[in-house]
Amino acid sequence: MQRSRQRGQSIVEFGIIAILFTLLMFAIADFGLLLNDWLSVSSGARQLGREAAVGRFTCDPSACPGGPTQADIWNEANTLKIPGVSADPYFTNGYCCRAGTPGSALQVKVTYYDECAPGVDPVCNPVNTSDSSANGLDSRFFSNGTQGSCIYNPNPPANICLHPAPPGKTGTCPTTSVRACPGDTVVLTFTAAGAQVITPLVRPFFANPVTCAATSAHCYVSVGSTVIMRYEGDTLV
Amino acid sequence: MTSMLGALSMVIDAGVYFVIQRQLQNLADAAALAAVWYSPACDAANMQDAGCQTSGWGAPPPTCTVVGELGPCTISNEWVQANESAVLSLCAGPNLPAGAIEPAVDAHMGTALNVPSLNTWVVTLDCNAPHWFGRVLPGVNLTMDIRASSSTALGWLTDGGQIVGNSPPPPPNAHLVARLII
Repeated sequence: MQRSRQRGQSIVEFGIIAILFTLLMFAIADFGLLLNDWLSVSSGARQLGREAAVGRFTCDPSACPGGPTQADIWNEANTLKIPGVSADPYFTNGYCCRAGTPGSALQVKVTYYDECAPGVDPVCNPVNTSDSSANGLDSRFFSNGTQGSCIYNPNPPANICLHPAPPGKTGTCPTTSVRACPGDTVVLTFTAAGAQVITPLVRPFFANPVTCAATSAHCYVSVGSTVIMRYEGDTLV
Repeated sequence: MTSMLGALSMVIDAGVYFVIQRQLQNLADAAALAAVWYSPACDAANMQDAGCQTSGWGAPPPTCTVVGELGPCTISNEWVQANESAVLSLCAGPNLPAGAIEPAVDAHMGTALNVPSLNTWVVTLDCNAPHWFGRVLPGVNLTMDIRASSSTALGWLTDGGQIVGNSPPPPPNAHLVARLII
């Protein structure tokens, strides 16, 4: 009788411990996967940020001068391998990747700042996309989610749009009044909105009515990274 | 249960280590790529007190002719400052005084690098990030040192894809670029 009661007690204790044990097991796996995602996103942000800094176009693939197949930052982001983030019918706007568009599995946002660095200079404004003068952004580039309205002229110095501009710095100190456009700043944010939590026991930690609802088959966690780089000009290196 | 908690702490701490290291590397790359465009002579007065080193220079730096122009030391620190929010959000941890952990900048001319470029620049960053869970285990330090270093070169890019300096004079089609060299 005594032994039978002890056995029953052991089963109850195991039942309690097993829940915690399983929760920890799945937490280890899920956190490991998410951190791996974050690592890939950080690496991808660095790569895309560098390309934005040397003048790779940020245009909408359908509106790029060379057409949808032209290599641009959004197409580049589409080819990055982010573990666990793939084409998914949940994302009704497609797999990848329009700047600032909610619902994409991968999102890229590029902003150019005019002769200043955010966080360093007290006043720092994005390049004005609608400015049709020489200080505007040409139509190959987006800044802060808005496409530039200047017409691109590939023959400097007749180029009417200086942002982003051909390299103007030759290794000497520029005068303060001619601070070349390559001294501007580009801020690139790369987000993997499609990183998934795969185990039900960990889902409550990431509960969200839109991306991780209790009734949904999927639970998505947004993982992002931002890189701020000096814009070097249209060197395409 | 102890072993499971240990495994969880190891996964999270190791993952956080690699994420912070990657963020620090991004920061170092951005700072070094920005700073290599600027003449060290423009920052001569700033070299000693901004975390930059003057030792190890080879040829005398070129003269800065524009008063008030920034040099690579200041630029390095500016770009670190611009990018550090993402890193600091990870470096700052529990049980640590606010503002006690910051990336330390160590920037200098990379004269030891055998690159025929106009200029080279190295930025090294250190961050004492907390052990989030490993600290509960015996023998584990409160923090872990994370380091990232980036070396860049400024030079003329030739049609052959090589970076060359001013001597001999660069070919006419070359244009000035900054490159990571490590």
